[in-house]
Amino acid sequence: MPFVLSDYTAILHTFDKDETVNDEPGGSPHAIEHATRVALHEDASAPLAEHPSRHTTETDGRMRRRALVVAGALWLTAVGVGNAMLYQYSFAAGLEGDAQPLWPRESAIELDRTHPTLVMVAHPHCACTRASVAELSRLMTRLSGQLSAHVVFVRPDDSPVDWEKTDLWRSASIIEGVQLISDDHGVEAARFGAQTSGQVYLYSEQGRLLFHGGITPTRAHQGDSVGQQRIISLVTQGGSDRGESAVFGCALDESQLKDFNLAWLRSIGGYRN
Amino acid sequence: MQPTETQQTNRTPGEEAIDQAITQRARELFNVRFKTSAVQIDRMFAMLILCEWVAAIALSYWISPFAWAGRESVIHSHVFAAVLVGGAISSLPIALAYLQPGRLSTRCVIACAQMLWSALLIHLSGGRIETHFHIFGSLAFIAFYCDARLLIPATIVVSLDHFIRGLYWPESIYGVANPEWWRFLEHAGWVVFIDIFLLLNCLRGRRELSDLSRQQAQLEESHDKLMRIEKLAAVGQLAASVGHELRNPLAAIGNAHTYITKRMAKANGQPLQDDEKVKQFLGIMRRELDASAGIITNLLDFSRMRQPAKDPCPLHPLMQESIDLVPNAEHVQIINEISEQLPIPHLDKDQCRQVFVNLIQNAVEAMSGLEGSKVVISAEGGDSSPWRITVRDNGPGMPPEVAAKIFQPLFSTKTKGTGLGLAVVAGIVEKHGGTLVVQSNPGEGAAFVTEIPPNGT
Repeated sequence: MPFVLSDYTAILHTFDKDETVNDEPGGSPHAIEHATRVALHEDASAPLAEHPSRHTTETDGRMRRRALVVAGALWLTAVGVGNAMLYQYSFAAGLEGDAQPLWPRESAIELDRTHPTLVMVAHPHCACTRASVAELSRLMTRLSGQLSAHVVFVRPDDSPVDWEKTDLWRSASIIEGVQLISDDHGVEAARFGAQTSGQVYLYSEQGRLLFHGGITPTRAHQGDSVGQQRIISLVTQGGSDRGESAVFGCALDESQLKDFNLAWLRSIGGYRN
Repeated sequence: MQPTETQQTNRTPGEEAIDQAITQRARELFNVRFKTSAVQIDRMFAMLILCEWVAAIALSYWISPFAWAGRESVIHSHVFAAVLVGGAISSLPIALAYLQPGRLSTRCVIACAQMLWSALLIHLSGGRIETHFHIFGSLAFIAFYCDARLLIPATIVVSLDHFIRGLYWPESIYGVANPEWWRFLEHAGWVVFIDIFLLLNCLRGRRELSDLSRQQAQLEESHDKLMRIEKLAAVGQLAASVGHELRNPLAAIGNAHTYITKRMAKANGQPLQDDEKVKQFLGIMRRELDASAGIITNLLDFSRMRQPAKDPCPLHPLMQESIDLVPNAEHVQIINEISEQLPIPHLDKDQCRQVFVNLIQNAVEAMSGLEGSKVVISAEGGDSSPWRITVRDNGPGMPPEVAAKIFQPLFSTKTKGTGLGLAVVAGIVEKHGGTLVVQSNPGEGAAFVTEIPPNGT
């Protein structure tokens, strides 16, 4: 059966009686309210408001609209402020630290002399780093055979045994071409100058720093990112517009923050000092 | 099918009025159905949004319970976001769904809230591509309302979210720092793409609802018309039946009257007490007048059945009284097996006596002249269970098609009868809150079972 627009307009005009006046065709609001209660198996004998005059209906309607506008404005404000705070938190980058321009000689990780070497430093319990590991997995698939990769899981002092063997460790361990390193006391992380989980370093075959930063678009968020695109460009084309990007993740060392709880409250605006 | 112009112009004012009434009723039905559906969907959405809130809290606590710094940790901001931002998003739609269900404003807020939930869930799940399907699922659910207008605010919320994030945090959507300004339109375009099909679906749904309402309005009109015709037919049938029943006694009375008049003319002032023929005809007149009065009493009972005046009424003596009122019939034995110890029900004694006299008399008449005929009356139950009073005979019984119609007014298998007796009986039992059923097969007798509910129910 073809759709007839004029029919639809006519129907639109007739169906919304409960929001208009009560003397239009299609049943009074009271009759519709009563029949609706019956259809919903509700208490149809419950008292309905006195049959309103046009004046009463219009006054009630105005008051209801005002209340709705106020409630709607409060609602939109609360939702808007909440979302803005959430996004601000998501875009607050972590501390970069001092990246080493040359491959640290004292590092236990071996530099690949045939391909660029990527090092990611991760806090094994950081939920935000899941996104970084997921993006590393995509990166390794994209650059299969063109990149050597290592993920350094930091073990702070006095960590229990296997403290670093988390689901993040397991996720990273199944990425092809990636080697995992358990970093006692964060020695390796300190050699590379990492302070935030998810920090990535890319060194050339000659041990020169090509890139440092994060490979997620925001905190704990998967998807294409500037850092990822720059790494791909550096590996496949040998160059990129810039060699850095913001990194998003948890702090690797509590000593970075003098008062952690206060710092966490500040973290709504990021880990910036 | 639309009526042709000729058909329209040939319609009488009466038909025009009926058509207008149908149109008016169709609109009422449409409004009620639309609002009923909207209220139900509002409540479904309220439940869904509540579930989304709970799921978001669970999801955030599961995926990102803590933020870490070395070995120190605190509750992750995502958990707070799920509780507070999720709570803020859910508050107004849930409140409106219960305070103002079925209104356009409620639907609009729900549509916006559902799309905001999509954005929050995508965020809390770490931007997983799978969570983006929540947007399309939500749009499809919004289309359940069959109100295409709701797709506009829903689409605006999605587009605005992309536009603002594209403006301030472009990497979170496009993965590049400086996207073209129109990139948000690409995302919104896909939302509009699905909107088009949902819009068509909404239009189709509304049209079907409108057609259905009109069909029901026409059906109701036809039903009313049929009821009027049936009533007229019933009146005609009743008039014919009553006329037929009254004609015979009136004819007999007329004959008797003629004879007596002639006899008086011939008597020439002589007394007629000793004339046996006159006595016989006066007897006929008395009998036929009684029969006519009986027919009229039946009619009045049927048309003006009064509410029963219930009092404690022992069943055994009631049944004995009823048996005593039934005229004796040859070869028929009536046995009252009701125990005198049976609990006493609350009944209208006069009405119930009428019921049982009628049932017993019918049984007796059905077996009149048959050797070894028996009518056995029994009862059971009482206290918390209903009373079951059975009038059973061992007569010829009745076929199922007769049993199915036996309580209908004006239905009779007797050559002489208005067909109102059992209809009156069934009406009385119904007024007592009970039921009357017949169990019978041809050649196996018949049992009329009266069930009366326990006292106080």
